[in-house]
Amino acid sequence: MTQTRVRDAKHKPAQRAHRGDAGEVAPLRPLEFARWAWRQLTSMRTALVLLFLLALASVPGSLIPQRSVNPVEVAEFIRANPTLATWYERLGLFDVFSSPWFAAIYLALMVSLLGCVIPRSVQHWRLVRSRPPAAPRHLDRLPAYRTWVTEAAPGDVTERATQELRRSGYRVEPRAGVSVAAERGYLREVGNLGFHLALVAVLIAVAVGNLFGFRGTVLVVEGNGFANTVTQYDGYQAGRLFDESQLPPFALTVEDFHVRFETQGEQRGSVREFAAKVSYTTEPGAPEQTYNLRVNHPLQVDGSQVHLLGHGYAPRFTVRDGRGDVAFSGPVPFLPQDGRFSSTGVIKVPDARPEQLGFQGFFLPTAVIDPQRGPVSAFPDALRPAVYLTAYHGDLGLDSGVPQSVYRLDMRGLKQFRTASGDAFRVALTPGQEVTLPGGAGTISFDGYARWVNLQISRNPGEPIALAAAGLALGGLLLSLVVRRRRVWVRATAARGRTVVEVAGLDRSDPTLAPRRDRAAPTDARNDLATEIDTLATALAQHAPPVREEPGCS
Amino acid sequence: MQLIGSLALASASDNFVAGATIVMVLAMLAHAAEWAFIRERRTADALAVPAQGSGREAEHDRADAAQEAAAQGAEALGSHRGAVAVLERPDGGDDATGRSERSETFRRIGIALTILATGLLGLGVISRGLAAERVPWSNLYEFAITGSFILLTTYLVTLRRLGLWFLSLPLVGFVLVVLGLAVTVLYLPVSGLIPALQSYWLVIHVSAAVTATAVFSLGAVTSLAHILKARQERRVTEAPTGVLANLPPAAAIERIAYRLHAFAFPVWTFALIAGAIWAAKAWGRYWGWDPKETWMFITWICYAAYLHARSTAGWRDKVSWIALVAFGALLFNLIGVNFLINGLHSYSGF
Ligand code: HEM
Repeated sequence: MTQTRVRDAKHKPAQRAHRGDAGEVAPLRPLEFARWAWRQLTSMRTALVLLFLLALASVPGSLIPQRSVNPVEVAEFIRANPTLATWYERLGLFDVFSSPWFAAIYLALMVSLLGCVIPRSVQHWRLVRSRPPAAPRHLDRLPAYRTWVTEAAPGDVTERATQELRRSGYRVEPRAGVSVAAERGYLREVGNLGFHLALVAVLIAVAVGNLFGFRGTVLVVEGNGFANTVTQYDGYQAGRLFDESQLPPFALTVEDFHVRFETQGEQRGSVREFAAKVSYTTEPGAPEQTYNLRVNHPLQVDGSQVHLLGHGYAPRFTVRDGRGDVAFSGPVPFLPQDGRFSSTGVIKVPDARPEQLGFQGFFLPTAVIDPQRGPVSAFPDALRPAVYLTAYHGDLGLDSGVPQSVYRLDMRGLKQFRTASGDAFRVALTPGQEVTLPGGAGTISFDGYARWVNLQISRNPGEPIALAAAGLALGGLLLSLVVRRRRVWVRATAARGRTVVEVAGLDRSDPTLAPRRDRAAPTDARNDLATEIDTLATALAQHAPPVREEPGCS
Repeated sequence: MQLIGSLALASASDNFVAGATIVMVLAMLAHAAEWAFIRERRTADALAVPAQGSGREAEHDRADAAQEAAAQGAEALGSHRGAVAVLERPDGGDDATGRSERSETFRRIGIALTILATGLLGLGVISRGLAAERVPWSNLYEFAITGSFILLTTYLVTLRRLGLWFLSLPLVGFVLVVLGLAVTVLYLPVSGLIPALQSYWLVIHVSAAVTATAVFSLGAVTSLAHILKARQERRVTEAPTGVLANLPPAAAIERIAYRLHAFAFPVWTFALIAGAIWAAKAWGRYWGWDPKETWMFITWICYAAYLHARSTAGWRDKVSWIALVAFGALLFNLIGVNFLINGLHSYSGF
């Protein structure tokens, strides 16, 4: 019978240009040096090192608080570790992913990638248009090899081989009566190149998003509205090439907000569902539409997206000043501090006379008195709301022209109200209660609460590009991992009135398959290269059966 | 009524998982016995036939012979018995034959118990999903039991094709550690989902992530085996003894590890892309460098480096180390990020 050997191949796949190791030490002229440097940069080894660097450089971005992720945490970190923070600041460690050194790594990687992939694309293009290379002299040195002697004529063997190979998807180059060269798996390299180029496209998509996109956040109290202009945003970031006039002119109103919390079990208090009913117009004068805005279900308007990010409470107050006039009335958004929505906030009453008034305090949706910690919230839903306030009078500092946070009082011009005994004046109010300030400075009443939602409005023109590029990358990756690159040769040599048939194959996709140090055969190698050569040989042997007396071992 | 049904299912799930864990302990004992007998056999062999020249060469000849037989489709040689069949020595004497049979018996018992445990675990995963009325992979406990189930299934399904017999003991040990942690430390009762998780992307993104994680785990165990075996091959020139002698040649193990990683990497890539699409829907940005995202990226880069290194001259013998580093990043993402770092994704822990 015939015999298959999977053996030590002396054959080395052609070194790819970019894998050159350029080890020479002689002094280099500038051009040579440039070429050497370029070859280094675009070598596989450099790519590998850069990949590791990129992974390593991302680590601090997950361990140190990041401004882009959580600015509040960064501020806290700076307050807690001022000296360390100055160093972090210098090294850009609070903004790892937009820092110059991080950019240097991925840009170097991209240059290396292009420097590697473009020449390879050219090379592959040539390969695709060329014919499979002629059979090497010593076929028996290839990793898979079979041979036998038959009485069939060489021409029959090569013709049969041509048919068989064509049938299994090979590009075939027959030399009738002599040999057949065949190659398949061109798509592997196409996939690999496509994958790498798609990675560049992803980076371009990110850049497009950063340059042409915008993102703004705004807090809207139930019943209130929002018109899409920069002045209405609480926070606003736009790309360098995005113009404010490009903001789509829509307007929306939060009609009503609904939230439900888990009431039992270990996860009691976890939010289970929240939704805002909004009505909106795409531009002034357009018909009004409604939408049920939920997490995972953003509203699309005019190329922008509205996301529901968060929610909270806005207690309602009415403040009368010393003269008995209503100086303030309405909901004031308080910011949640924990999972049970203990919320803090301030009320500024610039219209109060004779002096301006300010209040600072917290809102508890389900207030209970903890023996150690005092009043705390026991549940995130508003089951027993209460507010706890301290009060101030004087100058709020709003006219100084310096922008102020709406969640903090500027204490410089303010004096705290005190009781007759000199203690700080504190009040606890439940809905409907009213209290008079010391010295007849006015009254404040807690009228109930509304809820607010935090909306994000954004547009990212890079998104569809990124999605397409990611799909391309995945497709390319699959091709390059699944398709096998094979070369197969069949040679039929006439000798003493008979024909020696040789069938040999080479796998160009698996670097560990070709040159091996020892002869240990892989266990999973019913090695599909061997199997394929085997199947081919068996098919050929049916038409060119081996001659019995001369078992054709090599 | 419905609540009671759900509670019954939830406790049934807990029982199935506990049962699976216990059966896994038995499977581990069986495989330990299997290895012990092989080990004794190898030692006896080494003493019995010293005159055959270099034991290693002989082994390779046998490997070649097995290869030929396999290539010719001779299932008769017992290629389903894979690695061990290759290493078996017909001339080892009666005692050795007896040991080899016992080892074989224990291996069968071990595999049968593993199949049973996988079945129980599957029931545990399904009843958990039914009890919660959603997919059973939305917290770390569920991730661990579902991941273990997929890992065991992958192992059993590819056992023959890839010849994974040599992994039995370490793999069963690994899964046992995961299940042990799941039922003791990570356990969470059935509960509903926060709104961000209420999306069909939970099904798509996390199922891909859990599948890739399971196969990467299998790959990591294989890579570890490769490192140990390669070290032994470098050091030992005589006939190898000890449990490592039971493993196929290092080059063969490495190829298996590569195939596992090459399968898991595109799945992980898909999980990453699906996660980005989901993030765009839920939070209005497809990538935000949240710690979980960052570590998913780091893991991806490390595995890309693994695949790269395999085609880089001079790095080929280090690839298994890279695979382990990448697996370390994967584990850190599951454990470290959930427990140590606060982020948008932190709910997946507690
Ligand atoms: C963002 C950076 C990169 C990533 C994430 C990456 C990822 C990958 C992955 C996953 C593979 C294996 C899959 C396949 O064979 O297609 C691969 C293969 C490859 N990469 Fe990259 N790569 C990057 C950059 C580069 C660079 C800079 C070079 C050139 C210097 C390069 C050259 C190659 C080559 C030649 C292969 C094919 C190896 C083979 O034929 O088996 N890559 N890359």
